[in-house]
Amino acid sequence: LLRYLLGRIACSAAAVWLVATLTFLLLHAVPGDPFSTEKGVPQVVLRNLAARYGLDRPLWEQYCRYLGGMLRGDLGLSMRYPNRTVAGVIAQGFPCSAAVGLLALSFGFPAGCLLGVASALRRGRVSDRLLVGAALVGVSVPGFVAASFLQYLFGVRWGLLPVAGWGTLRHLVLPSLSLGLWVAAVSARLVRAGMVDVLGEQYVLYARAKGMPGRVVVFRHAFRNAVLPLASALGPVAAHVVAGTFAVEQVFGMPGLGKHFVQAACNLDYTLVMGLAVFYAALLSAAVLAGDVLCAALDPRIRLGG
Amino acid sequence: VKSVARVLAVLLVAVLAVSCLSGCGQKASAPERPVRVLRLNLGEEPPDLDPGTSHDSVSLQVLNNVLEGLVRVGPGEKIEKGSGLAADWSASSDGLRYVFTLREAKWSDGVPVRAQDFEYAWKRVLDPRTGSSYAYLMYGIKGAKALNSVDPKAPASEIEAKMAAVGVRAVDDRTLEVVLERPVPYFLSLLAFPTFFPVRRDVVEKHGDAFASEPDRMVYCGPFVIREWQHEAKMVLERNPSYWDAGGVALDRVEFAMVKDQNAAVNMFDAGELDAVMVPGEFLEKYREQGLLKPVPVAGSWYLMYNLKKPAFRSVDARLAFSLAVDRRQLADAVLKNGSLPAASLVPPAVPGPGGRPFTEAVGKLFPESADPAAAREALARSGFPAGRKVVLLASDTALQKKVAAALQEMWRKNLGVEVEVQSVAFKVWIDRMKKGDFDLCLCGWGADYNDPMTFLDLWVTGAPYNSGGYSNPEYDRLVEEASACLDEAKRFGLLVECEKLIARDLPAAPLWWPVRGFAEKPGVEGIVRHPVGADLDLKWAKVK
Repeated sequence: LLRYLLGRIACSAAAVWLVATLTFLLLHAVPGDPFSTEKGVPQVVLRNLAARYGLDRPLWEQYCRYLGGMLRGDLGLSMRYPNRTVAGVIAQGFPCSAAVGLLALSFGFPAGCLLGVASALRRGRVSDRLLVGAALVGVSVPGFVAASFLQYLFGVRWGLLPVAGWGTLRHLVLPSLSLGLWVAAVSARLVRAGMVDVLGEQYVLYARAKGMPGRVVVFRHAFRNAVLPLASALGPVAAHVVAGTFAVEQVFGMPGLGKHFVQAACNLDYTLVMGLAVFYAALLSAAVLAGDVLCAALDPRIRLGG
Repeated sequence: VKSVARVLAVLLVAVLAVSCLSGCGQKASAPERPVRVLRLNLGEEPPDLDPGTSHDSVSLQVLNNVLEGLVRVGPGEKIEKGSGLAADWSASSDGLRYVFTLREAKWSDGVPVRAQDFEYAWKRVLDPRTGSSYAYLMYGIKGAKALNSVDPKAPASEIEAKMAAVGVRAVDDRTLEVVLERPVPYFLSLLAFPTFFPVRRDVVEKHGDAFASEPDRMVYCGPFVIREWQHEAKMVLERNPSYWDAGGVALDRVEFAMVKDQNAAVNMFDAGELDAVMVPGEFLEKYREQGLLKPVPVAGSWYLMYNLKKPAFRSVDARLAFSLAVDRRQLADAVLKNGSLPAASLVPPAVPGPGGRPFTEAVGKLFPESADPAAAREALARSGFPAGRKVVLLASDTALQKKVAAALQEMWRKNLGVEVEVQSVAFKVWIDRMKKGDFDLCLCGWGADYNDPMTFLDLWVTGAPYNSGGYSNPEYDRLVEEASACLDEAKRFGLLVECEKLIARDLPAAPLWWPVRGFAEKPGVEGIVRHPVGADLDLKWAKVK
């Protein structure tokens, strides 16, 4: 297993390097530069700025310097936030995104599983149709719509929770609820599909034929296999939620990481975009790996490392 | 193997959870509510609070309240002696030499504010190694451009030599002498801008790149100090007891939220979490009815730039046709719906002209409010514009600009019978293509750099960086040059009015609308000063009841 893990980690490192290289090339292929503004800034000023950030050097030299810095853990200074390091921006934003993301996962995932199972057991009935419909809406409604809706209801209309902002536990509720609903909808759909498949399998039929109580059949035998599609999707879903989502953070004014993914790209903040891409690639690889390990733990048919 | 994997999986999840939650422990202290607190939305994290390099509107709003220059512009938009750190000044008759006398004032750490702090700050802005975006605002000072133009990799001695030749000198602790390269009629109004604020050498050198990145990594000389800064979440200002006019500051505390989403900010205002908020267009009517709306004019202007190098717009008649086909009233009232005004000329009414009255009063209406399809089609026919010629309108991809571009497209189709292709591109791409002249028509907005018509009119000088449509008229260049050196106010404004008339005749651009911002303020909030130009927020005189 250790050997397998090491191999996977090496693969992940290669993937991160690939992402870094591609991002670097793409960024420099986009027209414009981080310092271009609508103002008629003289050439001299732009040259001074380029020199300060080393952008006046040949592209390959910038690339080598960047990779070198990355290996030493130095992601450079942000260009939009000139007195903050990229690592500092990530270290500041990630915990907040992660807290909200984990909170969302912690209730969205079990809720989704329960709803998925309930729906599968009532397959074809009205309650199943309603749940499927609700899950479909939950998956397809854009984040900012759900977030704005919750914000209006709980914050403005009923005045139960702060509208936006950060700093107390109460501020965590609405963002994680907005995200959690999406997580619940995604997992409910996956679990329902898995469950419907598994319930038709012969071993389930056999268990029932043996006279096992329905609850044991469903949760002990069927659920373990039904949840597999979700377990393999859990890694990417978790990485996505934990790294922060633009819409929810924007609406609730959270100091998270999600908004940087969009804004840094718009600002062409080279160093911040690179840092975020590398960070997200690493996070995603780790999450996928964790998901695979989880799958193996759940399913005796899967053997890691063969 | 299975059990190992299971343990590992649980461990991984646990480690992730713990590491995330522990990082999030920097919670705010219990909310205390002193008597006079004003709660505003900053919109986002201030990217750069180093006054020497800062160039975004969010940071400038903060800087203007925690630091102060030689001049502070008050509610009347006038430049007055004693309004800022300069108690008095005198200018030579040729307008080339200014001598400022500083008032007795202290930094927040008790150290006196000295003329040397200004000399150091200004030379630091001009030092090419600093990489300051707004360095060019100082180019009127003797030797400033020469210093800023030195190669940043040149030997230090070369930079030092150029630095010594810059016309800024602390004669003694309280006297600052400034020598200009050429007369700059609006020089005093520049001094209220954060690029010209004083900076302490010892503080900058102590913190290096981290200068101004945290509240305790800077010192303050303005009405407020930064007490608390939770990055990207919240900033708290408190009255600065060391400020020279601390008695004149009414607020104890200012709390800035950093919520980017405008609708969310409006929701916060409605829920009583903010005392004032900027209102997006769709809510203007609601707050106007409630009597809470305060419209604030902006020294900005939106216009259509023509590319005179492209065959489509080489003829002035073609340019006239596209301008006449636009219904500016409809654009402002039915499309923008945010309180903006139809533009009758390039320079907006918020910019003062002769006698402090709006410059637009001296200019008059040069562009009609409604469209004139008949005259537009006639002008197009005169220009020999071939049927079916493809015309591209370049615009940035913000919601506002997309809306405007679509409306313009429709007006040209209806009133002119010309099909225009709209290309909405990301902001940075828009800048790049605009500067390279890669467009037929370009939707542009310009905000004043300083409070003078010149900031809108010198855009159209031959070869100016923003004049990418390639307009060139020696007569226009001469008018601008003459006005730049003219110290007789009446004559100078006369020349600038001529410039506006030439623009309306030659049409390098067609003005479209003058933007206005709307703010909603809770009853009892008074005295928030919002300038049409530069660092626009001033809370020195703000009160809450």
